[in-house]
Amino acid sequence: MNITTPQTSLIQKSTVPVALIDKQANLIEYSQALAVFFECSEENNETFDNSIIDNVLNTIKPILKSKQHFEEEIKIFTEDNKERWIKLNVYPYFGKAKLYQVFFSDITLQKTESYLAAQAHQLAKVGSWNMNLLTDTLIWSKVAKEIYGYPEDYPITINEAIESCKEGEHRNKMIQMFEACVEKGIDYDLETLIVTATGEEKWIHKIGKAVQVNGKTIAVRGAFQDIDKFKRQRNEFDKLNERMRIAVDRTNIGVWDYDIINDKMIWDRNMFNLFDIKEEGFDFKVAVKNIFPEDLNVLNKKIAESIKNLTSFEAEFRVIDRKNAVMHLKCKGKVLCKESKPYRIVGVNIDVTAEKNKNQKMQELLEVTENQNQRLLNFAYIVSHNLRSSSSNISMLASMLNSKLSKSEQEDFIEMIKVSSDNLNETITQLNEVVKIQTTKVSELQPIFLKEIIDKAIQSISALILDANAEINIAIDDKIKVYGIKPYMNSIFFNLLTNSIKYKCDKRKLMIAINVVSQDDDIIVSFSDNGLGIDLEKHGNKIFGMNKTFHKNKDARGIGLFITKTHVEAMKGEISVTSQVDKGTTFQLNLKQNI
Amino acid sequence: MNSENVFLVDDDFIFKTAALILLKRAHPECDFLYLKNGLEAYNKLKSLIESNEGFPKLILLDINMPVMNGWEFLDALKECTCLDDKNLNVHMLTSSIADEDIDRAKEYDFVKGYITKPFTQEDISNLRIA
Repeated sequence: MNITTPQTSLIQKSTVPVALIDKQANLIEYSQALAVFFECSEENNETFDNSIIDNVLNTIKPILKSKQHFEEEIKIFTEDNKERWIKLNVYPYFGKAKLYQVFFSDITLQKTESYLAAQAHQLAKVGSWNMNLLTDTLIWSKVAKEIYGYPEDYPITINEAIESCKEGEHRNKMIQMFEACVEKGIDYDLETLIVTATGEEKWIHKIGKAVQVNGKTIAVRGAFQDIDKFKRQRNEFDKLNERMRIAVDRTNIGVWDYDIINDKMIWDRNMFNLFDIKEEGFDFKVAVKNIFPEDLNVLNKKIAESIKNLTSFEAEFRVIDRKNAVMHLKCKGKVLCKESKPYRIVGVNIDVTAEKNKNQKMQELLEVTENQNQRLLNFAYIVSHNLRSSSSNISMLASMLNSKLSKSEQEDFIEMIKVSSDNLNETITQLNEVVKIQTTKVSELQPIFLKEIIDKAIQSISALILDANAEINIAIDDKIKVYGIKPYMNSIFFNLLTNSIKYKCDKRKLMIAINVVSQDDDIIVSFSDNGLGIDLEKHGNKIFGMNKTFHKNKDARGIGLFITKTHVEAMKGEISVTSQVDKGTTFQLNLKQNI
Repeated sequence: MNSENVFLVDDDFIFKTAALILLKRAHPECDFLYLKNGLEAYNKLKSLIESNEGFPKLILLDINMPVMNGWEFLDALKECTCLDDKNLNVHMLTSSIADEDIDRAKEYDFVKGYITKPFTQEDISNLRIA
């Protein structure tokens, strides 16, 4: 057949792939571009085998009756056996003979993409549906019906769709959201429970989207996905998580997670509570500043070590909270590795303040008890030795008074009884003082001018000093103050002075030197004499005990130094002694300038 | 050889005055030597041995004394090789009624008695010095 039309030359020259065919689908003419479309260059046009076009056209031969334009998609296989989708746009061209113009386009990409999408939907169990509001028809996809347990060809109704939502809150919510979508065009996205055709409950993720024309919803399109397994697992996990969280909340355990590589720290709510800081604007580097510096050093060292050795670590540190209170936290951490490289540390912090405080309280109580016990022992000793030596003397002397004594002897005895009873009295007074010291409170401490105290003590025993022919040299700044209790300070210097006089060396003139210097927060008093001295190797730490008398002369009671030490300690100070036999003794007092 | 010696080792002047009156009255035949502390007693004892004057038949010993107390004196006696323990006869004479002191005294073989003050006529007759 050789039909010539005005289009012929036009078709041949067309730059789009197009062919002219008759109603038997016989190829009349085609464009150069169509040859190219079928992978044939223009140059070897002569050798182009148009049978490939004939094959394609044959597929539309049965439907070439239509007088209207139609489309057809055809799958072919290329020479290298690849799938190729071709779309044919067929336009009737009626002139002298019934002819058709066929435009070719390649739709392989679109075809394979939508195919993959359909497959993905199948795999992910995503069903889709379309509700045409104009025709009131509902169409569900194959997967949608599968999810709901309906046969593929089941004609689902709107009522059935609504009733498939679980009665109660799930159905109510669904209706509410669907109505909002229809009326106001609000899209929805929710997770809800449905009841399938077989009466099984299932979690479904539903999405709905309004299709609007001129602000009026004409259709709603949507998709749903079966998330039952995932949702149930997540619910289970949420429940577990909640249980864990409640447990953790109650125990004051903070959990932290540190990303080593990116230097990022994540804290849970308890951590913020523990550190007493706000979650907003949390900066880990700032929060760390609340840790005691010396504790932070230890902590950092331990963490560095555990990163290096890939081990876990444990440390305790102190933190200052917003009320300036000290908290004790215990920290345990574990280094996590990926391919034996540390990348993360996960750990917990526990508040052990109450425990610590309890321990400290116990320790304090123990010390108080030990102290009291020691005093009691000292008390018993002093009763046994000092009190009894005086009382037994009185008893003995009194019983001898009525025996054969001369007049002058009797007078001596009465004098001796008097001395003994004075001694007894003094011992009892001192014992009373010992008991009193134990009840001192810190609140009674106040700043005192030290020079005044020393002057007063010297003045009070000036007769004794004169009698002993002692020389006292004092080096002190008038302005120096110590933190203490006046009667205690008086007693301390009184005791030290009388001690030096009592134990002076008869071979030389007694010299006493009192030097006071201020050093940091302390006032250091050095009190030296050139008296008999004490053999410290022998008496060592018992020197300040209540029971020790080192040079006993008739006035010695052995309580003086004990009382002095107790007084110093009651004012938060310290006392120590250095001495050399026959050279002298130096007492050093460290007193506090401030609280 | 004079073994009529009795040592009274005590630092308390009042006690010593009264005790010596009682002792001399009960035993005028004895020589009573008063020593102010352990060291004085120790030195006297040593000089007695060196001059071959013999042991005191009794030492009355206080515990709480300056320079060298009763216990230190007893320890010194124990360590001294020139003394024959068997001849020593020490009686503690102290105001201490503490059990620890009484028990401690028992640890020395040559401590034969423990007298608590006040010192009485009865204590003296129990001593059987004569």
